[in-house]
Amino acid sequence: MSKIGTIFLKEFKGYFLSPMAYVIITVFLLIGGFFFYVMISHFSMVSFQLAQYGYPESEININDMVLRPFSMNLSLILLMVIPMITMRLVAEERKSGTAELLLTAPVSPWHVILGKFLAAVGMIGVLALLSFAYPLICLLIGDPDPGPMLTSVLGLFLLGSAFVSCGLLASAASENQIVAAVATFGFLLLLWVVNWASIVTEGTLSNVLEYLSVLSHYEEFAKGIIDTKHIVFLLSLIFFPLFLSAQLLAARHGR
Amino acid sequence: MIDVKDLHKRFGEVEALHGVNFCVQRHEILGFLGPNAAGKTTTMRILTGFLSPDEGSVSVAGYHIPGQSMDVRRSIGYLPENVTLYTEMTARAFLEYMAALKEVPKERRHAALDSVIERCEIGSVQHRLIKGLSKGYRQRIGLAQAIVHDPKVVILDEPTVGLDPKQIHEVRKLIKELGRDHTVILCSHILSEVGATCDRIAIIHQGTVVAQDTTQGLISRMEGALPVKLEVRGPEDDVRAFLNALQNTELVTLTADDQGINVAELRIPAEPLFRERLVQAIVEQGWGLRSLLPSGTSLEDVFLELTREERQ
Repeated sequence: MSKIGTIFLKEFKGYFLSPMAYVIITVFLLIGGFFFYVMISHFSMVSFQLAQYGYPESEININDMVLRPFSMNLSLILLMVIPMITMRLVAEERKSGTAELLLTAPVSPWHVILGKFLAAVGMIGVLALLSFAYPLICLLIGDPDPGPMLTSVLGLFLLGSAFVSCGLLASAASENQIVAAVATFGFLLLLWVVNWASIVTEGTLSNVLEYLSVLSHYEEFAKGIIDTKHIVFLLSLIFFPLFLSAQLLAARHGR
Repeated sequence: MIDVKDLHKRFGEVEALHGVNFCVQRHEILGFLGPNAAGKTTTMRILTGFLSPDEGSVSVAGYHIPGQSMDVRRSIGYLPENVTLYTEMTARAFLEYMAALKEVPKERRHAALDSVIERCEIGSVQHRLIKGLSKGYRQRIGLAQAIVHDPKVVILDEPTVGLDPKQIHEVRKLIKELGRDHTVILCSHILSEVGATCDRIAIIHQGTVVAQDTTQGLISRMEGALPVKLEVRGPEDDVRAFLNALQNTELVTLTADDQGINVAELRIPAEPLFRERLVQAIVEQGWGLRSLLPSGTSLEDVFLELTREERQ
């Protein structure tokens, strides 16, 4: 247990010892801020116009017009940022040779995988916390329902963790960081859009494709719904790649 | 302390190890000698649990591979070939990380770090980033992490590569000290290094151990054959015939240039008076004797001999 903590701390600090963490946080907040600015401007424009024509203001609400689409946008930024956070986790150690130090120390594959996973999840935690600033601004200027705000942060965090888990698997499988990043990105994007095919398929296949799409699960969180079905889906998307990564290390190094 | 039995390892088409056997006694320094690509590093990686053997077994300090990899790794300190460290960390932070992974208890960690930092003489750079340190310091930091948990066995894979002569001297001194209370395996292809520091030597060639004995034992195997280099001015054919006719002597090579100078390499009996008699005989032929030099160290010769035999 303490070894997981040791690896976690070293990896997490590692993000901040290089420019990486700062660049990722900046990019994430900059793009997030841009989306937020556009949406909130659009929202205020629409509410002005409605007020001019005498419609009651309650016809539109800030949750539906700003916060929900904004959460969807944030998750899309995560989709692009996470491969860059996870690509180095194992691949870099393999390439540079430090894997030989790490794996000849008395640590088990699970220590390594969980320590590294938690470090990247820590980064996602930092991003999720910082992105909470935007909903807080809504709280200052409008009157949003705080429920969906909290559930969408939870959803964002779970979704990010599932993405990290997939990215870690790619990094454990490859020695090349770019390969790991591209494979992760491709896989996540496919998982994102796989339900588009449900339009042209029927019956069970259509349902399966719909179920596999992370987007549809995450959408529910953004709406303010916490359903065990979606939590179970995201948790299994976290656990399964972690399990495979640990097995991969174990098989390669004869544990 | 270490017992390696019949290791086999294959990477795709290449058979890296086929039947590696050797053992190391407690508090002994074993030199693991072999040409490049002979299987030294692969063997060490199996010993340290980084790779798993296809066949065969390893026992270290009473624990076995396959099966007890975790316990084996606890008993070993390992300095890999081409030491790569976490360059973004300071030397001390790096050692602390390794100490934590190697289960040095928290309350003893500080003292353990101080002790290895002093032993490896890296005190002056302990708070600097590894990124900016020279090869010599990196090597010593690598050595420090190998012994930070006071392991029973220390495995060093080419620890002096890339060091300057002064640093090489210091590292060798450190290895000798380690031999007092650790069991050490020193991998190298530098013969003088192994000869100077090790109690016993195992020679690996093309994936199998071709000899293991004390340094003296290996040299005495070759006794009776002292390699010398001879330079004589005289007719080539006569010189060749003369040298071939010498008793107990083997002519290895002979080359002649256009000024009638013959350079010959031969093995002569090690008895003390033989060289004097050879000189006399050559002079009596009326040829010009330009030089007669013992060539190469004896250990080098053993090494070349053993690794050549195997090839045929």
